[in-house]
Amino acid sequence: MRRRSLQLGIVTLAAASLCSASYHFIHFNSRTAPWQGIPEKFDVNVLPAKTLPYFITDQSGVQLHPNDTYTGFISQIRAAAKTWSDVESSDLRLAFGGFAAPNAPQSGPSMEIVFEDLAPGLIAAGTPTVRAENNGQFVPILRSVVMIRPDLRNHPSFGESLFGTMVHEIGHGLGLQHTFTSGVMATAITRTTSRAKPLTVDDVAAISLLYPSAAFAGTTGSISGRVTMQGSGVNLASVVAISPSGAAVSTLTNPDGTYRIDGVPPRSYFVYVHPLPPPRQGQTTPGDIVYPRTSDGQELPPSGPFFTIFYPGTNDPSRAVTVNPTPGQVVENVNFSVQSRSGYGIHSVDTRAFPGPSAVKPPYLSPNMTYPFIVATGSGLINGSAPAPGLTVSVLGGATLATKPYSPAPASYMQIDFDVRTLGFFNDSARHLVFSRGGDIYVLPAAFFHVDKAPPAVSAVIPTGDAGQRQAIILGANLSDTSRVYFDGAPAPVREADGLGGRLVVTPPAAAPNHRASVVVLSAEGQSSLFLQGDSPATYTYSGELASLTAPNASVSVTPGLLTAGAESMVQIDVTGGVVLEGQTTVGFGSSDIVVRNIAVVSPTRILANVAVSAAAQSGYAQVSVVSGLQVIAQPFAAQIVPAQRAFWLNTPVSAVSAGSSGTIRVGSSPVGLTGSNFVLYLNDQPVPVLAVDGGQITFQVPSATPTGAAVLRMEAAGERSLPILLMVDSPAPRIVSAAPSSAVDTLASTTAPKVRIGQFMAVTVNHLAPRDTLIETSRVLVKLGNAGLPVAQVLPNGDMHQLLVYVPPTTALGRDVPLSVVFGTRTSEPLSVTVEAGN
Amino acid sequence: MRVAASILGLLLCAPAFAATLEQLSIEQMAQQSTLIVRGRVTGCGGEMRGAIIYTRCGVAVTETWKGAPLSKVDFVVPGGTARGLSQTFSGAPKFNPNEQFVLFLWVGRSGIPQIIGLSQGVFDVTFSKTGQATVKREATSERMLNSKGEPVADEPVSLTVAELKARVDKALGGGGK
Repeated sequence: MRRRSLQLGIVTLAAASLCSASYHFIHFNSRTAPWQGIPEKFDVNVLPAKTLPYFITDQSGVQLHPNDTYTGFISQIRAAAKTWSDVESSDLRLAFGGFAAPNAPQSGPSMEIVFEDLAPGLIAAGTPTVRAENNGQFVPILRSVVMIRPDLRNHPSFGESLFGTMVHEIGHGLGLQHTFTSGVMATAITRTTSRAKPLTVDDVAAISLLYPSAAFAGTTGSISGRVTMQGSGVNLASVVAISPSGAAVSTLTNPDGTYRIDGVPPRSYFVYVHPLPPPRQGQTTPGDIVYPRTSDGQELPPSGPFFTIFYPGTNDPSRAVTVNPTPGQVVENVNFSVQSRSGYGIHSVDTRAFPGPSAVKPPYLSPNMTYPFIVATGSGLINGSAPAPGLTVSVLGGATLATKPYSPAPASYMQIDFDVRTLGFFNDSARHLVFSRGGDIYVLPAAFFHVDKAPPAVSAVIPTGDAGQRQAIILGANLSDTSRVYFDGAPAPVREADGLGGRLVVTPPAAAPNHRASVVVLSAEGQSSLFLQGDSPATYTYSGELASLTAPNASVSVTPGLLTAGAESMVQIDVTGGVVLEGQTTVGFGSSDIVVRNIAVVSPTRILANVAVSAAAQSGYAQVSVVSGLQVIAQPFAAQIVPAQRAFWLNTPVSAVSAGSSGTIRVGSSPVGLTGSNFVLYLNDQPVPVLAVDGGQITFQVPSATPTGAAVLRMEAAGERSLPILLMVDSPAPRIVSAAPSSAVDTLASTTAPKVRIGQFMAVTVNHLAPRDTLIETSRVLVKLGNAGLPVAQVLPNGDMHQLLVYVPPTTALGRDVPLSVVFGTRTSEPLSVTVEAGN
Repeated sequence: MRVAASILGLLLCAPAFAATLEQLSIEQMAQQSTLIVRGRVTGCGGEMRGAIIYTRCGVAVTETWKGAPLSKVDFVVPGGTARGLSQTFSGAPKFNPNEQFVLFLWVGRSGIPQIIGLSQGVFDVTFSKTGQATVKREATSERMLNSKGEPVADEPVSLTVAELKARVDKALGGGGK
């Protein structure tokens, strides 16, 4: 394909006029141009720690797939919510707030996941709840709701489909509408995301534009322009910036045809515009879009259908021109003049591949397929029992593909054959198809993926170890040290990986004896072992006599049981009849009125938690929920909110402290003004030196003998004692002991001139990373070499130390005295100077 | 064997289709409905039920195709405005007074009829120039799979009310009442 580039206007974002993306729920402040879109969104500034609590209510009558479990289903809902919470360029975080009693009072913003008695044909739906007013910048979402029908016998929660549905509906609840780039916010017809790659760049842009992190705007660019038809603006046209070997990012036009695509990662893009697809069965509007509304509530429907074109006005992708947005800048005047048409052409195309005997979506093609092909169905593709006459299919930026009837179902599906030589290269990103017929084109982003490996296959899951230190051996094929393993949606950290031998050793999450968990292996390029196993995944049955939270005699108590509205304090949560585990435990009170700030598992039966009770909270009982791994318990009437009163309390510390360092604490409310000499601060019941008092903020010394872990902070002033607050005392910062090429670790580890080689793995030995023999997920550790952050492939406990295995990319600059550091949570090691050498 | 395997796979495993909606044929809707009526909407209003806002509409029933005959019935659709709050579920149908519909309704634990499949069970009734009553639903000619991944037969774009009733009657084994 020829690529041309036009000289376009480029301005910085700050100088550009704002045209909001319409894949949000949009309101306009006027009835005429200029159109200033106002989206519905949560106000992150009123959310504690910018964290939205979500609750699960009314679980009665839930019916599950025969291979599913209730605790597994809860785990999958939490995994779906975590997908959005993990978007780094978004400030919004989500936290499981527990099981809510029906009609539990909620004075703060929240999301409720409700099992609602829905009529057949409707599986799930999500939406924000708003008032018909805005604050000039956005329409605050007061709460949102995701309703799921209780009859899920045909929809296993471990499967790709229901997981995608939950991510999609939670996305609606956060303020996202449908897009048309095959991301998770696409309708299910064209969606090609997977559990392994649940969000596309478009999804990330959509959530990040609503809740941008400080760094977001500086890392992406924008494209703007106008879409007109016979000189008039086209409303709700979908404009897509698409990279032939990767990302697609989109928006919808304003009523005057203006648009701006924001959140575009810097690279070259084709840009095309297409009409919203017509409503399909069960949909009521084109694209199932909720129309934007004017200030007087009038809905603004899309303009009529038109022919899809690429910029600068061609239906031939080979004549399209690329644009190149750069961070912080807008490429302007990417305008389109479209031609109307009487009806819709090709649209709503669904593609699948056959990695095994079953048709799978998303479609992945790999070299192990002796005869690679995908099948496609959609409006305008089939005529009778064959592909429509004149229909051609090509890879965007690539070859034209051969098509023919799909012989097992020729009236519904066409077959698209691939010659692997025409694909040219493997690519972890999506590849796009262009369907063309008689001047009509349809672009299907992420129509297939071309990767170099077949999906992971699991042949056996073998329990090993004992209940105290349980492990599982996973046997199969296409397993590697980059595989991720999930038991009922909960991560099972990989301890050992033998890719050649097809063997992984993992630590399963905690679960009750006899619990049968579905085991799914995901690959780095986005494939799943379910691509081959469908609704019958490998399973792991827990053995042993370990007490479980799910046992009938298990219970939970909260001390103190009275929680003061408007105050913050530490509570002690004791578990009877079951155990909880560090790193796998979550606590919630089923109401946005009680926010759990942080927790510490101090023993298998005891949790300490800082809880903040809203000043607006109504008096009444609260239900506490404790989730540990795949165990779940909800204890009604575990705590009681009492009216706001004069209380002496401290805020939860913003960060942990280290022994021997200083810490800060903010006083929420005290009986007297604090001067520095009229109060005493206690840490674990021992007075500690106060270094400074600045208004309500106190800086204090943490004694060097303070043990790591949970500590209790309390204050005395004017003869009164404050409510206690939990303070986490971290171990000292990590210290790099050695760094060397992994192949030479034995000979070089103790040298005084650490060196690493590009294109090879390096072994970094670190002290003080975590307590002895602690297993650490690779995603929690980052190694920085110079300015580059390098992902960690493996973390192995080694006595008091941990050894990190890190790949040094060939693109790394050679040099001496390059700083190497290790980041673990909030702790960063002192840099170690290393020499970066050429590889062998 | 490749073809045979492929057929089996396509029919039995469609893991990512029909996320929010399970698409139903007219026959499936007829069988799964509790009540099928033809009538005229008399009015709608929002109400809160737990965390969800529903719009409740009244219908003056002119024909009952399935279920005990009645002269009027209420049904609800998710979304709407109540107590100054609003929720909008994409795909939820909207109704205006005096519009005529054939409605496929289902009664769950709440006891209040809901429309099958969000808007799948709603058929607008319009009249041709000759006065013949027809029902329409957008884009029903789409190819689709059901919940088990099996292809569902094409749906006509429009039918006469009599044709629709005949299909319902046939699906119900000759009589719905």
